[in-house]
Amino acid sequence: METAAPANGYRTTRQLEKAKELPQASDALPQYGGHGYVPGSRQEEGFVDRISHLVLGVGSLDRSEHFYNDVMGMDIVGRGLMAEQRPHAVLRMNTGCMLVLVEDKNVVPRRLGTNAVHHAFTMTPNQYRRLLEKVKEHEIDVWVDRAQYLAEGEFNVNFRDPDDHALEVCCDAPEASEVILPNVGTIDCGPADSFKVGDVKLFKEADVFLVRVKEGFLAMSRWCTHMNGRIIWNREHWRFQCPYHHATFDRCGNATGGQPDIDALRLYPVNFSPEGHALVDTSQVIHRACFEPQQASKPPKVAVTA
Amino acid sequence: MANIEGLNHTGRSVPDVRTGEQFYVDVLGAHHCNTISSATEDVRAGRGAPHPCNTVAGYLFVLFPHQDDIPLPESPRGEDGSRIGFSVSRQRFDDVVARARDLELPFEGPVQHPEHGPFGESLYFTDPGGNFMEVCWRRDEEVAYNPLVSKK
Repeated sequence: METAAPANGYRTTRQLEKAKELPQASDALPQYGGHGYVPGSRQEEGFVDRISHLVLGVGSLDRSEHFYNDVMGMDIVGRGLMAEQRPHAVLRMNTGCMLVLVEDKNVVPRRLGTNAVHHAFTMTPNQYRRLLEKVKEHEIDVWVDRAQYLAEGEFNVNFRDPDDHALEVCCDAPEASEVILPNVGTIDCGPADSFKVGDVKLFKEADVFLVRVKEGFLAMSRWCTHMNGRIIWNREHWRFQCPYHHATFDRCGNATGGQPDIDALRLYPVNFSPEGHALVDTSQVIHRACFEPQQASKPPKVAVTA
Repeated sequence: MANIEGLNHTGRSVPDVRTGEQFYVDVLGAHHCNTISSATEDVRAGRGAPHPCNTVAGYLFVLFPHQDDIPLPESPRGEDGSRIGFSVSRQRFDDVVARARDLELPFEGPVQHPEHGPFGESLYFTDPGGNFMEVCWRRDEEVAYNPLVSKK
């Protein structure tokens, strides 16, 4: 199948390689909407009730109907079903969302002066795996625009349809919301008295942040509770931040913005060796909605010698 | 069953992302999610810009600035490009038309669709960037389709 897509010459190797990655086989329905947002997680009252359909101008109805049916996997509903004078076809997806293709000899796939106009679709892992087989079969150029900002279990692929409309397909596999264990047992984080109140230290081997708060020590999992992105400590803003979907957390792990209605960062138990070292047990995960003072492990009192 | 679940999000361009976002909030009742300014490869290469994300009825719109002055379309029905359609219940449709009049939102319609199709009636309008939009009621509103997202 021919596409009007440009050559991939300006894409980075990472953007091209990432487009080959596959989720594990699964028919699990998506748990996230666009950019990791979870529809319905906040009050949605307004002018309209729900997304219904997308209308695209296409140069050839036959060619595009075949593309969206065969490659994109949509069901064909029929033709001539709208109050539209031009030839048009209606296709349906499993959530009831429709795609309407309208034949037009002067298609404008992307507005002048911007390359940002794009249309994104949702697939299950198995649907996504099938899609990648189809684009390979049809030799369609694919890449991932946000290659460095995909969480674990999150899959995106970008390509163009036969009229050069910019498309994106998104898939969140079950592993995007599973608890990831570091499997490194207990780690020795060094002398507890070397941490001052306010200190945040990353232990990369375990994806753990050890934080000294005034109540004691918190060992926090680095995996975001929204979707499995690795958070970073933003020293200048005193916040943990997920670069993938922009959730932020305070020093105690409480969610502070970016994504609504998410839990505090998960904890691992902190114990102390007889020598006063902080030991983080990464085999047990403690889930919590928000920080409470008793979650912090109090360091042993330092013996005062005369 | 199809091999695709549904629509995920839409990227659109507007002359000014601030006034564009205000339209989505004031007229469509959108919620601001976040403003993405990640240093992606595209941003670093000058092919992107920070962009606000807003949800309308749970559906995400990502707004990008125009890179040039772009003439606005003459018709709100999207006769030269793409159009995003939202639905309301048949019961609410007349209220939406009245609300559009109250807001002095320029629109076309309501337009009746053929009875043998899935759509009932539609009205058409544009956002401040001239992006085409539609609100309709659907004859299949009682059909139990898959949810847009499943619960965790």
